[in-house]
Amino acid sequence: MPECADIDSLVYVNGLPTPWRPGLTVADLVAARATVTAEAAPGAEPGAAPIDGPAPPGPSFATALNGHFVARTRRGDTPVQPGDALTLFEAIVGG
Amino acid sequence: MHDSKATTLAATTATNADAPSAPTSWTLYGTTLHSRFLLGSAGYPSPQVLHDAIVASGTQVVTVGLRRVLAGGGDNGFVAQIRATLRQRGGRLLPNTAGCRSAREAVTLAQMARELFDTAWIKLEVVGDEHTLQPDPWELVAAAETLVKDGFSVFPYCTDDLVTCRRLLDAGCEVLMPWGAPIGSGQGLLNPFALRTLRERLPGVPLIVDAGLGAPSHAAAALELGLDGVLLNSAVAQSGDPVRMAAAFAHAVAAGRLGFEAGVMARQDMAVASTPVGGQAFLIG
Repeated sequence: MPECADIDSLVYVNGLPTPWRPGLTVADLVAARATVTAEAAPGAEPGAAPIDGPAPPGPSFATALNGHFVARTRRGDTPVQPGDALTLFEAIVGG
Repeated sequence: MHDSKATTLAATTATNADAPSAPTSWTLYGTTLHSRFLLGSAGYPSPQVLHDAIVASGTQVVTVGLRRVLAGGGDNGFVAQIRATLRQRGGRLLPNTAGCRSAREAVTLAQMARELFDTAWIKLEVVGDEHTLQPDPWELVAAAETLVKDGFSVFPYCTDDLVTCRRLLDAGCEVLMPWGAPIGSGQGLLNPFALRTLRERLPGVPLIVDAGLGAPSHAAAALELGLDGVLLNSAVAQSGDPVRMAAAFAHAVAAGRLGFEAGVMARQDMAVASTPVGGQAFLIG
């Protein structure tokens, strides 16, 4: 657990603190998230075999840095600064 | 990038005899649809029931959403099921910006939705009150302006206020989705006068009643007024039998539209005999 004095060297991923380092990018943070980094086909989720065949592969989440959208193609060249907040969003049902 | 300019979603071969074909087609942002029933995907007990409800409804547009990724989250296969069902039946997704409280939040969420769902269609929701979930008209218009300029096809969830609707059209929206009643309330058309006014003052604009419908009769009433379609979720998902209710709403939507096209008789203040009186024999005893 980082010391409170190191708060300037933290970034936040979905609200959880993560150590910052020079050169850190959005892609790095995404890769470090073991539970959400698998760019698997939605149909590959456990127990989620859909009727009428498997769904085609596609992105499983989207990213926003400090409230601004970061496209998948830009994650690798989007730097992250201390105090930044990265949020990952996934597809869900909705009305 | 994502949508063809002119698309016709073929009327799907009904595998469920309870799903009637729509009497007339209509067009939303260049896509021709044969169903005037848009269906929400939240609150179903299982992906199987959701699949069956989509089939029974005959819908060609299903709404979806986004949320922050949760540790150990996932949606238990619902989204995958929606994609599979629509792929088989030729329908498309309509992502929403549910939960957003500002134009900025809504714009960001819409951009993420476009990437996740590979569509420029977006149901724009910007809530202004936590209790009524009614839209914030100022943030809604601001978000619509930004999204239209960014190439989105915006479906704004709005109130039945005519001036706000005009501002949305000025912002570039080609479709409007006025509420019937607060989201999830099931109260039906609380202000049919306002909806009728929108229809009369905005001819040619696709109007989809979104939110607050509870019974199939509400949907029929909306279509009879001349509105072009309905979008509903809770009325089906929270019913006793979502699949049968989806079929019921499909019938109601078709009936309402047929009734509107046939021309509903004018209301009369007093009784008007339907049986001819002249020539009838009177027995005077």
